[in-house]
Amino acid sequence: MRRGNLIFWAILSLMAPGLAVAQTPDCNDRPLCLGRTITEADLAVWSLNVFPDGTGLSDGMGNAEEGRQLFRDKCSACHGEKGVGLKVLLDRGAFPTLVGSTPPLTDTEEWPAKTVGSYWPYPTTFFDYVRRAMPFATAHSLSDNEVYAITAHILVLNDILPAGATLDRDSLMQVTMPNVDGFICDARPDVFAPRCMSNCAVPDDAGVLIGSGESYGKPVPITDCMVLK
Amino acid sequence: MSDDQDKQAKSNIKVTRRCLLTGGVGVATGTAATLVAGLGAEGAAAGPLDRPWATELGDPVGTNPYGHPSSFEKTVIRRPTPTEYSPKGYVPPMNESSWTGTPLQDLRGIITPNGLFYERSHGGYADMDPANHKVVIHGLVDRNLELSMEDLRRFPTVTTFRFLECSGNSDLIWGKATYGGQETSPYLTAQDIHGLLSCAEWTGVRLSDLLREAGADTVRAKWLIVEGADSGALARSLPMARALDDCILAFAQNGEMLRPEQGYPVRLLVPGCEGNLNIKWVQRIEVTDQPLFATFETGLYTDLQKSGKAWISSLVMEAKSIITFPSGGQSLPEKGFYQVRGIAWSGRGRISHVDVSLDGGRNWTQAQLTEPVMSKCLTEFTMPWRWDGSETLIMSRATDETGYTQPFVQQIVEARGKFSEYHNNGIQTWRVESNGEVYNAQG
Repeated sequence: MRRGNLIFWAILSLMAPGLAVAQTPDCNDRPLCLGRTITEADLAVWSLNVFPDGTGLSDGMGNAEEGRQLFRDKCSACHGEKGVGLKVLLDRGAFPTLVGSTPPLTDTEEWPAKTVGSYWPYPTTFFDYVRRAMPFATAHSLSDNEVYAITAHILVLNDILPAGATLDRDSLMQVTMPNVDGFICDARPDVFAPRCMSNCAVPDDAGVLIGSGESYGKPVPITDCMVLK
Repeated sequence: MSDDQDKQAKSNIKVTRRCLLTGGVGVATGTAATLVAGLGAEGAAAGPLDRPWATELGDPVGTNPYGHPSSFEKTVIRRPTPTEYSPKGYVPPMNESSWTGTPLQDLRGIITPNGLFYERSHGGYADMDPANHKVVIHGLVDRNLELSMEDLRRFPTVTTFRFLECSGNSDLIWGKATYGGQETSPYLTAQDIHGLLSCAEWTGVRLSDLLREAGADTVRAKWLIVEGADSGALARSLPMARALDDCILAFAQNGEMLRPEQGYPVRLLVPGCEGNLNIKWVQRIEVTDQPLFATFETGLYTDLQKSGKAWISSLVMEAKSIITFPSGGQSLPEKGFYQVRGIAWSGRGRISHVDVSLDGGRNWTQAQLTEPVMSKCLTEFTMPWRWDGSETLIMSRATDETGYTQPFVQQIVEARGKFSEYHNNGIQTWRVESNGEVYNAQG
C-alpha cells in the first residue's frame, strides 16, 4: 500500500509537480518522520476495542431469541447448547463454560465457576471478545447485530436479562454484571519469608508462621492496576 | 559397492552407532542386528583411530543450510503437558489454543534456543508476510501513524536479554487436591511443571520512541491497548508507565527474525511481566485514558482469592528459581560428585542470591551465580555437591535486588486459596531416591 502510494505520488509529481509537493506529508512535526499518517476514516476498519464506558460499541441491535438460534448454529458445538461447556476428547478438558454460578467463587472444595455470568465484570468485555475472537476458527464472521443477539442470549441464560430481551448500545450499558465489584488490585507481594539460612521453619512445622507481605512492605506499582474511568 | 549400496551401508552404520551409544535395544531389524554384531569390533570396541568417523569423511559442509542439533539430542524438544501425568481436564481440548513447554532440564546457561522457546497461543499461530504487515498507532496522539515493517526497522534499535514466563506456569504444583482431588504426579519433569518459561536476547524498537513519533499525549493517556493480528485479535491493556519505561516492539530474537510461534514479524515485550501481556503479531496500539478490561485481563489471568474477590492487573512475575539438575525424570548413576545447577529470575529486577537446601528447607547454602546477572533475565546458579547415596529433598530459593525472597508454595496457597491458579512462584522440591532416580516432590 505504501509502495502504491509512492508510485502514485511519483506519477502525480510528473503531471503536476507543485500539487504533489504540497500534498506530501510534512515531517517537520515529528522526530524521525517514519511511517505515514492516516485518517480517522482509515481507522474505521480497525475499531475492535469496546471499553466499559461504552466507547467503541457499534450501532445496531439484537434479540436474545435470535441469539439462541445463532448460538445453537455457531457456538454450541464447543460451548454446548446451554452454554455450560462441552467435552469432546476423553483425556482432555472441556471448552469454556459461559453460564452458571456454582460452585460459588468462595468455594473451598471444588473449582469455583468462573463464567461470564458469575465472574466477568462488564458486559462490554463479552461484546468485545465475541466480536474480535469468536466463533473460534471463524473470527470476524458475525455481524454487529449478531454479536448483540448472542450477548443478549448469554445474559438471558445467566439470568441477568429477562427472556426475549433485546440489546443495543443503550440497553447494553444499562446492564450491571453480578460480579462487577469482584475485582481488586494485585496485592503482591502478599507472602514473604525472610531469607533464613539455618534451622529454618518449613511448611510442615505445626503452627509455624512463615511471614506475610506486610513484613516486606514494597507493593507493586499502583499504575499497573486497571480502574474504571 | 554401488552408490546406493554405499548410502545404505552408511545409514545402517549411523543407526548402529546410535544404538551402541544410547544403549537402545529391542528394535533392531535382522539386517541391522547383523551389522551391529559385525561392527562391534571395529565400532565401539575399536581404538579411537579406527572408528568410522575417524576413517571416513563426514557430511559435506552445507548439508544443512539451516543447521539443527545432533541426532543424539533429538529428545530435547518442546512438549505439551503429558495427559497421562496431568489432572483430569488440565489439557485444553484443541491444540490451536494450547501450549508446549521448554525442556529446561536439558539446557545450559540462560538463553533458550529459538526452536525450543515455549509456545502459548489462543488461536493457533500465524505465519504472515511482513510485506503486508502494518502497525497502527492511534487514539490520544497528534497524528495516527501507520508503520510498515520497513519503517519500523528504521527506528533506532535496542537489544536486551529478558525472560518470558506464562502466568499459568507451575500451576500443576499449586497444591494437593487443587485439581479434582488428584495427587500431583511424581513423574512430572521441570519441563512439564515449569516449561512455560524461556529467555532470549531481543532486538527491537523502544515503544517510547514510537509514542513520541505519533505525538502521544502521555499526560492524559494512561493506557495502551495493544492488539495482535492473529485469529482472535488478542488484546491487552498496557500501563503507560511501563510502556515508557522499558517496553519494546521486538522483531528479532537471538539474532534472527522472530519465529512465527513468537509473533513474527513483530511482538510486544513487557520485561518482567506475564507472557500474555507480551502481545504477538502486533498490529494496533490505541493510546487511551482507560483500560480495556479485555477477556484476558478479567475472565482469564486474574487471581481468585479465598475471599471470592480476584486480583486484577497482576502483571509482575515475582522472584523464582528451580533446580534443573538433578530434577524430575533424571537419575544419578552413582554416589559421588555432581554440580547442582538451575535458573533464577525476577520480574522486579536482578537476582541477588540463590540458596540451595538439601534437607527439605531446614538449612540452606548460598549457590554461585554465573555471570552475567541481568535484570528481568534468567540467571544461572550452580553448587558443588557430593551425593552420599541417601534419599535427599533438594530445592532452591531466589532473592531479588528488592530484598524479596521466594516463598514456599504452601505459603502462597495458604494466602490465596486453593483455586488462585496463576503466578505460582513457590519453591520446587525434587526428591532424589537412594537408587539415584529423581522425582517431583511438590504436590
